Amino acid sequence: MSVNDLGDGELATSSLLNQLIESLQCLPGVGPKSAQRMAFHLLQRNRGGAKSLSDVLNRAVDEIGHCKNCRIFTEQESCPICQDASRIRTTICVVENPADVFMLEKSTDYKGLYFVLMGSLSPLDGIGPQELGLPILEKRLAEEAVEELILATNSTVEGEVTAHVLSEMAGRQGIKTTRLAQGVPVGGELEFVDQNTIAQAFAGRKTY
Amino acid sequence: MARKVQLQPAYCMHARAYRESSQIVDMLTPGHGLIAAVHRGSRKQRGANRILFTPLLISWSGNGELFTLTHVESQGARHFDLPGMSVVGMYLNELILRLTPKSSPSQGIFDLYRSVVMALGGNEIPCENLLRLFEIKLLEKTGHGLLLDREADHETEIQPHAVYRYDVESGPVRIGQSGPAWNILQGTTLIALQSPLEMKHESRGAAKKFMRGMIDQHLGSRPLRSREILQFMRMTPPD
Repeated sequence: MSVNDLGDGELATSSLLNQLIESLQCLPGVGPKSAQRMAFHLLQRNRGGAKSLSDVLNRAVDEIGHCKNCRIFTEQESCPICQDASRIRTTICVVENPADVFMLEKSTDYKGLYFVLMGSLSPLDGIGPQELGLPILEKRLAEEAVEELILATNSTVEGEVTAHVLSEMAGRQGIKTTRLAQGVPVGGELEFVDQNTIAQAFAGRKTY
Repeated sequence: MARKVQLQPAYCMHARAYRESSQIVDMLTPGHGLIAAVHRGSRKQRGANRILFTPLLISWSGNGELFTLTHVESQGARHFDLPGMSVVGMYLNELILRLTPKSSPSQGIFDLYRSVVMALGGNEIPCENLLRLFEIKLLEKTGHGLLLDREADHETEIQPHAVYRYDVESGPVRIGQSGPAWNILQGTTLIALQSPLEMKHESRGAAKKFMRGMIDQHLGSRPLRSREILQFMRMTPPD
């Protein structure tokens, strides 16, 4: 019997432990080693934390769905942002991910509404207009008094294509679209900015 | 020993996220056909996503089906920047990935792709005509060439005002009357498809319907997803 066999045999005494280690690997950036560390930590030192984690995780997966208006994560039918009467209802900002909403809420004074696509158009990955909920957004544009659609999708090829499709969709209904500005990063030096970004920044310069 | 391939011309067909910061890229090369490779750490590099529709020089190493990219540099500027064109470009890429066999070298397919993306950026030839040229040539180079100038007997010339039923296996067969099926078409459409770049506006609709049906024959049951985006963009406003 080799040393390796012994190691495996030891772990195999608890198949539940193995299952836990394997399950933890579904988290981003967690490989077998970190998963093992996490599992031992939870069982050895923090069983209370493990219990509450498993309860919250269970409830979150069961109860958190998408807001019927903006598709952001919420356990209610409509999210707090959509329900907030003080928000400006004539502007909708379209983003790719729920994390983008949190970023914009934290760093800007935007007071309008959102629409979360949960991705960007990528035909080769099987993500088309239906998957991004574009028909839902189109219906909203038709039924609500929207004046401006802010296209805050990523500056990747897929993000640009998505923004283009959205602008065509809004254009059909006569709604103005705006796109996030692209340019020199705050605190950055021109010398180290790539050519395309400089060109964009130069074209989009504004009165100072 | 791991095989190393140095500085090959290539175009990226598709890049999808892999693990934390890498991507798996599908590259079209003339000497090695379609290859899939891991591009390590590429999502952390600024502008990594701009490799689509850009002529590249790439090096890779490894064995088996998934290689490791060791070097990527652009060989020139991106062929087009308009997002509207990128949708069309994605359609070309999807066709290549769906119709071309993996790792089978083809200078012809590479040259065809390069000339069509360059022309799309040039904006001088109508986009629809370029797409028909690409579809016809790609079918030809993947062993599904069309018979457009003769009937299925390979002798009788196509008559502009006659009606034909295109049989996928053998070619156009003259029939009595027109019908709604994708493979029933006028002689004028077949003649227009012989030189797609010069196609006039009036032939484009019928040519598109025919080519669409023909491509579907070779794709199997899974539809083309980029077509859905193009269709969504052309939708009429709701009443």
